[in-house]
Amino acid sequence: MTGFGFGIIMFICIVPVLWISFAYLYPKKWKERKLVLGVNNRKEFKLPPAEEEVEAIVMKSRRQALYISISCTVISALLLLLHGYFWVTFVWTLFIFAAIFLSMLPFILGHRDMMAVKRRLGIVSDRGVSYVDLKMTGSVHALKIVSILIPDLFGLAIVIFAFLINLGAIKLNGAMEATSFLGTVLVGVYWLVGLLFTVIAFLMDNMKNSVISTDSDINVNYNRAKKKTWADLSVACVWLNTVYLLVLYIFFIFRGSEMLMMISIGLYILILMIYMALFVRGTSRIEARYQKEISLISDDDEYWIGGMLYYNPEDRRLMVEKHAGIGGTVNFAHPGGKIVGAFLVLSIAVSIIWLGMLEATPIRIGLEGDKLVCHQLRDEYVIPLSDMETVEWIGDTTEHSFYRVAGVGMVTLLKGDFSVDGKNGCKVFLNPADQVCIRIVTKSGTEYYISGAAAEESRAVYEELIR
Amino acid sequence: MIIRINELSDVPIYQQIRNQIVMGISDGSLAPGEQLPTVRALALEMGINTMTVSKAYQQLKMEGYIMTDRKNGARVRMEIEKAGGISELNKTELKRIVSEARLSGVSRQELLDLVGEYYGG
Repeated sequence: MTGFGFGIIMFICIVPVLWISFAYLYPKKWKERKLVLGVNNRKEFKLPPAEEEVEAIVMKSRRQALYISISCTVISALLLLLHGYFWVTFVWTLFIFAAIFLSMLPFILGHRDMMAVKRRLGIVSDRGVSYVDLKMTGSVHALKIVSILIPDLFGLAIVIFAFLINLGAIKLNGAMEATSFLGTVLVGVYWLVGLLFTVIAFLMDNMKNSVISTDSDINVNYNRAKKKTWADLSVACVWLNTVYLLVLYIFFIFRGSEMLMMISIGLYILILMIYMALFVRGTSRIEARYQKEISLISDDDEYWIGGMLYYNPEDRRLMVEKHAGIGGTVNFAHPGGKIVGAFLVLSIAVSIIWLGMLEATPIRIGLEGDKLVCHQLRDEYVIPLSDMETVEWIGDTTEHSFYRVAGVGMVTLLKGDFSVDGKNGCKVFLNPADQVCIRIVTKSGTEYYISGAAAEESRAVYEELIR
Repeated sequence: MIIRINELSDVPIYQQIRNQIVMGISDGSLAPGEQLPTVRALALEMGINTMTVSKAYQQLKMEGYIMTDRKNGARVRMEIEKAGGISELNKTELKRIVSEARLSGVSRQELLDLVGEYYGG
């Protein structure tokens, strides 16, 4: 994949997300929303003297978010001009983290100001108070199990099919070629993404219902409408994921071009963004429609840190509806929430340490007896000399396209399963900064692209190999 | 019918549930024969332990307000037995309320009006 292709995909991802978040988190018509900057929208906010102050806070946050969204969009467009796949991925990764943080910053500051207004008005949160409507307890659902399980089962069938081909139980013929095991794993990962959508759909469908009115019919209709939009989004996402999984697999077995692959990824993300935009529009309409019906507020504002993180030791529920953004979040005071929190922190820490180790540990290649060993942190590839069919020196790797299927793609390290010049299943272990490598084709047809930490080391190993 | 739960109240949660269901039956928010949520569903919705809801239901059943069976779950009784009197416990509670009202300067008529409003009919 070219740097430009990667940039386009990132652009399609980040820009719509920024603008969808902007539209949802910083609405102009704040009076129509159930929450204003993560704080329950009370009637006191809509009346003088607070009205003007709340309006000013909302507009200030909106203006800040607008500037940030415009800046991020412009920077995203400028990043498309970057060259070199590895620099592009590196800069985009940093930019995405920065953009997420910056786009949330006006919300966090606005939330702090809203809580100050609430305190000034003398509104005290009813700590420990919650409402439950007996009429809708356990009975308001919108998700049809069959509609979401069909695409999941279809996806599973594709994964099993790919796995059986890997095992040799099914033979392909004609223009088709079996995917590598890692390719099958990748298809499996996409299936798991669909399964994740399904789990989220079930969680959201079983989420605690909001009690907004003393009239049970209003509560039932409000919650059913909200759950319906979630169910529709979830089913659409699972179907989209399954279709993409099928496209990906067809791409693998027919050895499709990288351009087609890029277009399909771009389309996948674009459709996902359209779904999200429709969902946000639908949810906003429901909020606006029911705003005038609100007569009860379960005020849990005090338990939201920055309007984003929910920490309520008195609430025994694990999942709650978000105050910022769409969907649900965990109660970090719940034992399960603590495990999720610890897992998140550990995952980030381990990822950073792992990436640091990958970056800091030089790759090494060398002959050990009658084998060529590629080593970094552990032995990655061991190729017996007797198994080598051809050995070729590549003086300029930039003339070849490397597309990562599964593995590592960093500025100074490419490692794993790659598609090279459109050929899938190639094993890559090289330092792309040197722009040189050795191409080895084994008797079984597997292609290796390898290099050492420095060009001299690679050249020396190559000399030994051809000798 | 809406149940308001205060986790920080001195009144135990099972008692709060029990009291509000009784009030709901009394004011007609819960009709005779009306299905109540399952113990599990209500506990999940409230974010409390199932034992707490189960205790409230057990008490309501014992007092004759609801009936439960494995097949249909919990329902409000069609006919609630009319004891025709106020329990000693409630008399003591009523005495406390009246006393506090008197000390607060609430007139006899105001109190009776309030009782009339709550009693309905």
